[in-house]
Amino acid sequence: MRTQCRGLEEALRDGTLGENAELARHAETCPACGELVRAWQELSGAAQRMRRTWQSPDLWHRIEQSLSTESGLREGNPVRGPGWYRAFSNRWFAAAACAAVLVLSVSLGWVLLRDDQPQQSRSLRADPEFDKKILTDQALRETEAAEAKYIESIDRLEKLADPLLQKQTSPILLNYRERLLLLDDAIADCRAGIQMNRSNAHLRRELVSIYQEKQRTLLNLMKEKTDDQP
Amino acid sequence: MSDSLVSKPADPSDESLSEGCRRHSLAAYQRLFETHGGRMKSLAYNILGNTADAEDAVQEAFLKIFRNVDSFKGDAAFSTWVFRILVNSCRDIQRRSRRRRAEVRDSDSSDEMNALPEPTAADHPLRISLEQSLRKLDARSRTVFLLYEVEGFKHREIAEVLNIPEGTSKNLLFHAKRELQVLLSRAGRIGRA
Repeated sequence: MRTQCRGLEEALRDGTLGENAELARHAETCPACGELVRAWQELSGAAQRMRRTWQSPDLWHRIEQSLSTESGLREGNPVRGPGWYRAFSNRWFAAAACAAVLVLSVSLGWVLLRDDQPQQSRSLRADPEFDKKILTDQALRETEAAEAKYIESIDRLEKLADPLLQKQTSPILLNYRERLLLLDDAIADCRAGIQMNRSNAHLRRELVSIYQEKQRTLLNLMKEKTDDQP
Repeated sequence: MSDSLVSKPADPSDESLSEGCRRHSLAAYQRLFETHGGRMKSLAYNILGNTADAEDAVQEAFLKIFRNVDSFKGDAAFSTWVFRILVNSCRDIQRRSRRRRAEVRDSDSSDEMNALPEPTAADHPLRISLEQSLRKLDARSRTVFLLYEVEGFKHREIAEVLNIPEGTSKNLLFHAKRELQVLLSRAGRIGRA
């Protein structure tokens, strides 16, 4: 394969073919590359025809109903008006607001009466719950940094393993590819769960173990490649 | 694919939309539906293969957004977070229907991988072949292809939607197109691979 043919393939992968006039000229003179570019353009053209539009007159109504049910609003008693008015018209909300004002007033009075207490005792930093929260946040940041390192390392390994995987010359390589796809699905599921609750330690542990597994699989794959070579 | 079709994190309309949704304002959810509903339906349709499931997926996604909007930290664009939830809802629907089929042991041999979108009057032979070939790809490559080529997302956005590195998105698209090219050229629909 000529250098320019390889370059064209890379440009197709990165989506930068349009920015490289030299490669575009090459595609006009090289029959194989020209055919490849035409085929990809046809594919993109057909893909754009896959976008579907249709009328769904009831869909918003269905969504609105399910959201109203979820938020506890009673059906058939919609409150009209701007957002703040609708919110304040909710009796429960008004009651909660009154309770909050009452609690705030009592707290303020209590703080003023305890004026002679040492400053340190009122400090948030003296509160063990506060320290605990900081530690939790710190742990979360560290976990996320470790995960980012795994992603970085896996990304590098994937780049190395990718040409080998695409050859699909043996059942072993096909097995590796399947296994990596399964692991990717598991990672996506795990991350979707974490998205809902970032502090879920169980999911975090599971994600790290899947990352480790993927890293091991990719390293084994690379070893496989090295063993194959004479 | 010159311009992004979903909003950037700093986009004021994206921010005001996420703020409204955080306040659980129905008007904000209606705006979200008006802005992204069409593309959400189209993507769900191409993943699930029929309009009824696609609409269910969109409805389910809205409910999940409503329930979990507080967990949106603003690291990515709100709209890409919305599409991530949609893709997960589509997966859930696929899993549920797979389980249902396994329970019922229906004699019908069709499964989700073979469930083709309903044909329309404007059907184009290459498009139909493409839809059939897409079913033969793995789920992730198929989703990347649909997001990039059909819905016009950028790789950066796809990376956010699918929680994968941008390079992986590019690779998955490249291999998806390579595989589709082979399948379609075998079927005599496009030039030789």
